This record gives sequence, structure tokens and C-alpha cells, in this order.
Amino acid sequence: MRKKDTLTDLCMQAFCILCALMILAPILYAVSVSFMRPGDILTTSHHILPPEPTLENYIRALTATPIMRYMFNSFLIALVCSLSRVLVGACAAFAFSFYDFKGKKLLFLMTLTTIMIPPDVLVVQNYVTVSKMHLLNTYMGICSIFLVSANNIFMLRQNFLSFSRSLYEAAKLDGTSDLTFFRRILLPTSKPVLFTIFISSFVNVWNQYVWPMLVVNKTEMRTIQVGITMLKDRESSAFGPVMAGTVLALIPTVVVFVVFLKKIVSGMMSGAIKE
Amino acid sequence: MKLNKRRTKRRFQIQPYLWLLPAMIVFTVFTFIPFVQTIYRSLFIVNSMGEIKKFVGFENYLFILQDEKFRIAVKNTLLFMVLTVPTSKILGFLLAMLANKKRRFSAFYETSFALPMAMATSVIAMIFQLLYVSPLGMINGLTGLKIGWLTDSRYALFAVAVVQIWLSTGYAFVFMLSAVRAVPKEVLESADIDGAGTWRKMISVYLPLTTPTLFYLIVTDLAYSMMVMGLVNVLTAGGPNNSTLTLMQYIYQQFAGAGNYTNANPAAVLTFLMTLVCTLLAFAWEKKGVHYQ
Amino acid sequence: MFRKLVALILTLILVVSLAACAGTGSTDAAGTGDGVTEITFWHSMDGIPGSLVQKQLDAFNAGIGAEKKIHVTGVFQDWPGTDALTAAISTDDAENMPDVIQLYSENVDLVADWKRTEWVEDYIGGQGSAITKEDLVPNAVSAYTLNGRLLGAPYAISTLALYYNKDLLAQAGYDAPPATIAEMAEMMTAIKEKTQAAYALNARITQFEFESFIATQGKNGTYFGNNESGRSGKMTELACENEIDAFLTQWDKVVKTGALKPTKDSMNEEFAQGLNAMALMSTSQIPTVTELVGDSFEWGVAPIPTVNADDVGGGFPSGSALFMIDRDDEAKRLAAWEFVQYMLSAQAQSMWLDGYCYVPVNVNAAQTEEYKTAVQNNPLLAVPSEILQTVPNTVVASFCPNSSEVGGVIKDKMIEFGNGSLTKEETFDAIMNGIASAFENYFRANPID
Repeated sequence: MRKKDTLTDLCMQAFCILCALMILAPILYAVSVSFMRPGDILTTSHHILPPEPTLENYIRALTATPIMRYMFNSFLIALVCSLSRVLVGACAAFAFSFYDFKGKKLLFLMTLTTIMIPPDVLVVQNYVTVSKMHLLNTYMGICSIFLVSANNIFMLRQNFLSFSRSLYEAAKLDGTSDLTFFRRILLPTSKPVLFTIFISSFVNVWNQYVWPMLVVNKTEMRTIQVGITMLKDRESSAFGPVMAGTVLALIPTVVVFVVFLKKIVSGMMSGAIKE
Repeated sequence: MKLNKRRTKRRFQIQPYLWLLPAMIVFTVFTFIPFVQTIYRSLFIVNSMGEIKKFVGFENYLFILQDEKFRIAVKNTLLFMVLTVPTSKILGFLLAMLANKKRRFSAFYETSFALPMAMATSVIAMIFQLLYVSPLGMINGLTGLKIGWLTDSRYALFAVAVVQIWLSTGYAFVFMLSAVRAVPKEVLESADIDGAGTWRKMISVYLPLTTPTLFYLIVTDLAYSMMVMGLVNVLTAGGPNNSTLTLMQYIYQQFAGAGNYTNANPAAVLTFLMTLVCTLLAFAWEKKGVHYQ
Repeated sequence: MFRKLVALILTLILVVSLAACAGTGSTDAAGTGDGVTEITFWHSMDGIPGSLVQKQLDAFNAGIGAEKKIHVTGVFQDWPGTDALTAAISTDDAENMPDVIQLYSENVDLVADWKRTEWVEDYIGGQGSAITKEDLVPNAVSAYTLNGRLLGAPYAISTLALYYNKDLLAQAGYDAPPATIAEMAEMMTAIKEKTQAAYALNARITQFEFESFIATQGKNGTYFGNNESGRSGKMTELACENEIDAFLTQWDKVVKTGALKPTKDSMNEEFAQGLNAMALMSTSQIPTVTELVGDSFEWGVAPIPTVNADDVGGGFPSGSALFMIDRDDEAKRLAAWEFVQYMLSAQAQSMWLDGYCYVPVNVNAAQTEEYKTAVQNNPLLAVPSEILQTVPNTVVASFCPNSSEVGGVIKDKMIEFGNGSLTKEETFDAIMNGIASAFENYFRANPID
């Protein structure tokens, strides 16, 4: 019985690894291309691996643009925005899931509508607003529109709603204030979902392009996605340096991912089920 | 206690509004006000400098509804949504089931399944652009085909949809995995006692118990797929022959390409309304099909 | 946890705002402190040309800039640079505007009507001007001249050309590139029969190629639209129905050979792999193709074939120009003109040949050492200049309204024509109707007062 189990287990693992490689294939290919010479990328012999590996593309990516500075900018912005999204989002979701008040339904609906409004349409008006606040060319200006995401509020609400209501009532009867309940009980038990929001927000902000490009007109304030575009050559298909930039830009997100993923999958909803 | 409750009900509570304040300020300044402006401006002729020229009421709406390109964009967007939203959720669920049990290499393949979530749309679009190139690209190279994936109007929308599915499956997987792992042991044990096989357990235990997460994923992805733009813009820019022209691409072409805010504003409002309808449909499903514990 | 989180966020906000203050503080100090005039240049050059722009900026700052106390900072903006400009126009915030901006000819109307635009006409050839119009490629000047006045300074230009694989042509029995489209069609049939090439010609006809085949017709060139293609008043309709018909009639012969690839996948690489015997591409690709081909075969670059045997031929300059913007500061305005003059100089323009191939807009560039060395190493680099300098200044691209939609119609219909799904007559009608409705669309939103 045991032996059979391990055999199926092995097969399952092999299958999973195969699936994993298929999913990773485009990324792995990008890594491979980043080491290719221009003449080896698109050929009739279809090289999967670089026939003569070169570091040329990385040298170009690192010298043509201040890519490290861009990474720092992106990192800072992504960190501030994702922390803010976690905190502000949790506050809003707390109100939506533990209070009954006038206009709750309407406010929640309005929150949800922000997901459905095409953000690219609002870009010019938001630029004017940020300009009036004198936040052009500042990190705050870049962060401004990313500080809250309705997506996160929605997700936290889904999570908080399955939090035991009786626990909340009991805490109230004990004389615990809402703020204390929020800090001491709700947030600690919701760690997995908070981490999820942190990661997805971090990745999301890290990958923003249009807005950071528009509100900042200084080379040293540019973000990594802009840096990657600068490596691309619109007219010819010089893919090498772009792929090198892409691989460099991927490193931080992958690290954040690998570090935090374990914390999430240990059971996002588990806090909610335990009474 | 009864008395207490009544008293709190009668008294106006300031607390919940305070909790909501920070979020609402940001939404109001950066989303509601500009969007209301957009709605207002959609009733006017607006020139390429963004100046309001003339009030025309709903004429702009009638004008774009008669625009064949706009109708193609509506059709493509809906098709794109139907292609990508369910597929990525199903794949995410299946992958989560595969990875459910913790094994020796779990860490490796869990991360790999989820990694697409970490990719920037613009970057992944460039990678797939390279893979799709015909005839020298890798996909044609490995399969021996000579299909212009992005240049043939029969395949282009599907080719773009594949990239979108790839991207959102990772996201769905992360959420589904934690949902699947949170299914209570007792429920599974009782299913075991009933003699349910793997397949049965998947359909009648895991699937219903993970519907809240599925619901969240579908609602947010519906809106997301309605507004897909970065991907289309890099891969095909709406071509060939408008076969990948989505609503957002239409709007983008109008205001960024042609400086035509007169058409872009009403198109944005209509896109919002369509997304709203789709989301409301999803909420109708929430009432029937989503099981909260 | 909660307290830690709040503390962390507050600290970060503090750091962010401090960093921001420090950032703005330092540039302001540099601007006023030691009498150096700071100016800003927005461009959307990426990849190799992006590096070349940086090289030009460095040379200016170290040379004339240091001498005249001007410092210019380049800022990359999203292609085609209109997003950032529209945003700057809509706030009219002189603090956050460039002094000089690079824009493509499709977007000239945006600056032409703007009150802050400084016309180059008011500076060029004036007192102390190192550059005159005679120094520049004639049809590059006429390309940016509106109502007889020069609006922007042509900066990075290229033209359309025919790349041909000499080895494959020789196998088919030809030793020279075709002069007319009809000749090209004959050659294509021979190439199809006698060689292994996958396609005899790879040509995706977008608005650029389409207009090139129209503009080069006739003894003196042909305007695409009325009012000299939008140069003496707004272009409101096409002015070349017969020429379009003539082009399509000739192109039909090319389509009928069955050896045309009408889509664009990776033109450079396919040509360099010897898959396609000829390709219609911008001359800016010459260095890239040179690197990709290596020594695998002999190839050349020629002017595009003409529609009729007695046409003027050649090509028009396509690309971008520099536009000056008034930021309510006399010193900056003069500094901006110094900078633009430098960018037009023979020295700055000859830098284009280093790895990329824009045509130097300054005709004197041919006398510089850089140019001579570059052309010696790769004689093909001289071809684009030869093409442009022989063409009369009436051969120019149009200021076509709604060119994104017009371009879309042309591209789609020419692909359908190219793969045989539309006949010549159907293509003609579809293009004419598509352009008419694009114009109608545009003038509905932008009525002429």
C-alpha cells in the first residue's frame, strides 16, 4: 500500500515538474535569448540555447541606461504603494465587513466601480490634479494614484466576511475597542491574505508603465519598466538587450515572490475557519 | 443587551466612515472626479487639444455606436473575455489540485505555476512577440508550422488570448491553491468514508467549497479582461484588419493616435457600463452559486 | 504588527519626500547658481539611436555648452512623445515643459497651433546663426515648412529604399535592381522560377510606403493631399486619386507574381537569412542588416522602383524634427536655439552613421571625418543621402489628418490586396472610402473655425 503511494507520488511530481517547465518556457527562453548574439536570435535553425553565449546584451543594458537607479526607484515606489494598499485596504474592508451603517451598500458599490473604470482614460486629468498639488517629478506623485486598490478591499472583505462574527461580538463585550480588535486580533489572524495583497500589489506597482512615465520628467526618477523600453529598438527587432533588461527586472519580483509565497499558501483562508 | 443594540442603532456612528476615509479620499480625487468629468465631456465635441467646443448631447454616443470599428471592438472584447476568463480559472483550479498535496518538490513547482503573476504585461508581450514571429520564431520552429500567428486575422485574437491566459492562470493558481488547502479535513474524511474517488471529490467537495475565491477571481478578471490594452498594443496594435481591436485599444487609438477625445470619452463610458453589467451578472451568480461557510 | 507597519509607512513617506526635495533642490541650484542656463530636451529615441542622442548631448555640453554656459538634459519620453506633450499643454505649467522636443511629422499639428511654439524660421539665418536653410537637405526643410515658414528643425530622417540580395538576383539573371515596379514584377517571376528564395519581395505597404509611391510620381513629385499636403492650409482631402490608381495598377503585377510576402514579421532577419530576395525597408536599417548578413552574401540598397518610367523617383524624408518651446524665459529660449543649431550641425548629424543610419540633414556632414570613415567602412551608408539630395523639395510626406486611422486602412487593405483576397478595384474603393471616413471622423471632432 505504502509503496504504491510513493510511486503515484513520484509520477505526480514528475508530471507537476513537466507542467512547471511548460509554464516557465517563455521565461526560460527569454533568459536564453538574453545571452544570444543578434544574428542568432531569429534564424532558420531556431536556436533554443545560445550557440555562442555572450554577455554583450547585459553590458549594454547596464551601460546604456542607469538601470540600477531605475530598479531602486521602482523598488521604493512598489514598497510604499503596497504597504499603503495593505493598510488602507484593510481599514476600508474592516468598515465594510464589521459595521452596519447608512450608505454602506452604496459606498461598497462605488468602491467596486473603480475597478470597472478604464484607468488609461483618466491619465491626463490625473496629471493635471497632480500638477496642481505640485507633486510632478516626485515619488509621491508617482505613488499617488496607486495608494489604494478596490481589488484589495474587495478581497479583504471576502476574507473578513468569513471571519467569525461571534468572536467579534465577544471581543466587544469584553470591552475591546474596535481599533484594538483590528490590530490585535483581525490583522494577525489574516496574515496570509495580507501577504497575498502585499505581493500582488508589489508586483502590480513594479510593473506600472504609463503613469510613472507621464508624471516624471527626470531621467533619474524613471522606473524600471521605462528603462526596459529604452533598451528596445522600435524599428529593428533587436531583442537581446531588452531581454537582458527584462531578466534583470525580473530578479526582484521573483525574490519577493519566492520569499512570500510560502507564507500565503500555508492557507489564506485558514485564519477565517479557525474559531 | 437588546437595549444596547437598539441604542447603537439609533445613534449616528462616525466610526465606519473614519475607517473608510483614506480610501475614499484617494478614490474621489483620482477616480470619481476625473471619471465624472469624462462623462460630462462625453456630451461635447472635444478637439485634439482637449478643449470643449460644442454641446451635442448623446450624439457622440450615437456616432460611435454606428462606427463599425466600435462594434467590432465590442465583439472582440466579449470574445476575448469568454476565451480567457473561464479558461484561466479552470486551469488555475486544476493546477491547484495538482499541487494540493505537499511533496518533496512542491516548493519548486508551486513557485513555477505562480511565477507568471510576477511578469509585467509589456515584458511578457515582448517575449511572446518573439516566440510568435513567422516563420523564424520558436513556435513555428518547434511545430514546423508557418503560421503568421499575429499577422493572420484568423489566429491573432487567439494568439493574444493565449498570452492573457498564461498571465492570469498564475494569479488564479495562487488564490485557488490556498482555497483548496483550506478545505476542512472533516469534509474530506466524510467524503472518503462515502467512497468518493479523486474526480468525485474534486467536483463535489473542492469546487463548491472554493467558490468564494473563484467568485472573487472572476469578478476582478472580468473587469481586467474588458480593459486589456498593454498586451494588444504591443503584440498587434489592434490589427490585422481590426481582428484584435478591443474596446480599450479602440479608445487608445482614438485619443492617443488620432487625438479624438470626442469619440474616446463616450467609448470609455460605454466600456464602463458594459463592465458594470458583466459584473452585476457575476453578482447574480454569487447569490445562487457561491457557498460561503 | 500594526504599529510597526504604520511606523514603516511614515518613515518611507518621509524618505520619499526628502529624496524628492533633495532632487528638485539640486537641479534648481545648478540652474541659477553659477550662471549656467539649464535646458531640457524631450525625445523618444530608444535602443541604439537613443545612445547616439546621448552622445550628441554629451558633445554639446562639453563643447559649445561649456563655452556658452548652457547645460542640456535629455529626457526620454514614451514614443511618439505626444502623451507627455499633451499633458504639458493641458496644464500650461512652464515649470514642467521641455525647451526642445523631438516629434514625428504625424504630430506636427499638435505644436503648429500651440501658442508656446517658437518657429525656427524666426531664428534660422538670423544674426549670429551658424546654420542657414541652404545647409540642410532641401526636401527635409520643405517637409517642416508651413505657409512658407519653417516650424521645426528636421533632425533624424530616413527614407524608404529597396534592399536587394545580389546573389539571388544574379541567379535569376539580373545584375541591377529594378527601376520600375513593372520591371520588378518581371524580376520577381524569374526569381521565383530560378532560385530557392521563399519570396522574391517582402513589402508591407503602410502609409509610409504608400505615400512614397505616390509622392515620387510625375516630373515634380505629387502631393498626397490638397493645400500642398497641408503645408498651405489644412489638408482636408486627397489630391492624388489618379496616382493611387496608377500605383495600384502597377502593384497588381507584383501581387500576381505570387512571390510577394505582404506582411511584416522580422524583415531584417528574413532578408539576412536569404529567405527573401528583396525587401522594402527604411534606410535606417542598413547598419542592422549589415551586421546580420555578415559575409553570407552580396547585397545592395537602391531607390524604390517608380510607378511610371518617367517619374522623378527617389523618396521623401520621414522621421522627426526638433521643436522649440517658449517657457517665459528669454535666456532659455536663446539657449534652446544654440542647442538646436548644434543638433543640426555637420558634426552632430554625422554621428547618426555610427551604428544607425539616419540621413544627416546637414549637407556639409559629408565633409566630416566621421562621415568619411563610416562610408569607407560601409559604402551603403552613403546611399540614403544620395537618394534624398537628388529629389526636388516638392516630394514630401503629407500632414494627413487622422493619420493613425488612415494608416490603419491602408495597411489592412494592402495586405488583403497582397494576399489576393481583394482585387485591384476593390482595394482602390476600400482605401478611398476608408480615408474619406477617417477624414470625416477627424473633422467632426476638430471643426475648422
